[in-house]
Amino acid sequence: MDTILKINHLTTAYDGRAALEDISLEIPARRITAILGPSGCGKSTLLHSINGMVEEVPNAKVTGEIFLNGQNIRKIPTEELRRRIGLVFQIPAPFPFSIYKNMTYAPIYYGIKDKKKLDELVKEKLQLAGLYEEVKDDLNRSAGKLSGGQQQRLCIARALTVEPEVLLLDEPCSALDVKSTAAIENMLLELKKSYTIVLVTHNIQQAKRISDRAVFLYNGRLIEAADTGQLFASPKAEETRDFLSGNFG
Amino acid sequence: MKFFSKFLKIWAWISMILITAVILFLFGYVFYQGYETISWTFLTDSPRGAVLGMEGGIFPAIIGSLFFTGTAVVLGSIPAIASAVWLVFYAKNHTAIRMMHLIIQCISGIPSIVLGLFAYSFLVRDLNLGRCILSTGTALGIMILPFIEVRAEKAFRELPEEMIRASGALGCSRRYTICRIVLPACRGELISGIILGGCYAMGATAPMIFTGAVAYASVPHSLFEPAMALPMHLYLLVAQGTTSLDVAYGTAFVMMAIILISNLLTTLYARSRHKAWMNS
Repeated sequence: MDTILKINHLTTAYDGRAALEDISLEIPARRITAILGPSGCGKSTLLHSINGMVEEVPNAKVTGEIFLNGQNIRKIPTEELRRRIGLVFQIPAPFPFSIYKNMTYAPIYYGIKDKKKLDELVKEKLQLAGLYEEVKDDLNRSAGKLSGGQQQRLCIARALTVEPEVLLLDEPCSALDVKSTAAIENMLLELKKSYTIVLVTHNIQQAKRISDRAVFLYNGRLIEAADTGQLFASPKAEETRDFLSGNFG
Repeated sequence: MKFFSKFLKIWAWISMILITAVILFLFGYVFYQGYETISWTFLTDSPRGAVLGMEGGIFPAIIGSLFFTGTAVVLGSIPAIASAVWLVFYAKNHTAIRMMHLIIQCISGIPSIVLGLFAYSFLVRDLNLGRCILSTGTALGIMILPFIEVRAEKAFRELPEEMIRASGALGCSRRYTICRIVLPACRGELISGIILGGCYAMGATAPMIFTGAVAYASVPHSLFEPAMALPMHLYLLVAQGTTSLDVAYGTAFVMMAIILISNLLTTLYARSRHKAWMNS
């Protein structure tokens, strides 16, 4: 298994209070890695530290190193880093214009002007996100008119338009119903053939269903990281056992 | 408790009816008093007569007012929107943000006659611009700057934060996000803020008295000449005494009609543009 992301002794603090402490972790390429843990354990902070969004927060301080394909992310310009490591938020955030415009928003920024190329890209990425069949007749429809689950898949498709190497998902299903969640899970299983996915979730069953590796965070510390089957079958740490059996969370 | 909530409800209703009635009466009264004066000549001719304005029309004042307002809108809205963008999307330093808000509040507290005095002594006299549309437009622009800034800033802050962050997460620059998402999404609010500011400027008389509005002038051809303006004309007509009161009402009629129509058109335009943009 190739490692695409390598995190060494990462500590992220807000206003001097550590939200993440001394995290060391390797993320395998073209796999789904689930990050588990109760609310406030630092899962989102970890994602935001990986793609540099944490820099936007005033008084945030990051120490330690993160390597993307062997390259220290501090040496990568922020815009390029965010292009290479996509991030999809918990609440679907389509831009207030059409599906088509949502999909071409970033490619146009990166200089793709050719209409035919854009059309192909829109089609390809919507297909990858399993949304194309549902919306192909009316790509000019306002993205705000899609259902919550469709909006979230659009946001994932939109994140794919810039060809990221890693896709970070911050509890993408927490605002969705069972059916939309299943659609997204199937899509993620398809996507992992070509993309690396890091999925933050506090839905234990979801992690069990679709992830290859699972990481358990608690109070800003990494408690355990293992292959999903192993972590669920025989968790080593007591906290992990308690969390997986639903004693807290 | 039940009595109290009932009382509040009745109070709210009475206030609403009262406000609506006052506004309808105000508009109705002015239109009723003024409509007989309105004629094609009144709208398209220059003022004439032994007592100026008794005969002829108010055409130069209409055009002059549009010039004053247009200049004020351009000079006021550009810095207003730019500062709102800076405050919401660029400023990180809390002290700087507080300072800026304080400054904007202070500007909105300046009495308009003082702005007129400032424009007179600085632009008309020291910079030797003379009494002209540009001098007045600057004073009016400063006057409406906070008005537009507050509305623009509110519109920017009301955009969902996730949307802005999602654009950042795609690696797009802040400039691109502002040009492609923020400004188009707020276009309706921005335009209506600008037009409302313009209406406010159109009615302000104090800043133009010493700086560019005159009792009589022909239709202006550049920003460097003085011009007539509707509120100034109205003021002079009323000051001349009861003989010209009818014409004064006619002038008020025209001014209120311009303001009302531009308000209405803006609202409709903003709404349709917003809809079209959402669907495009």
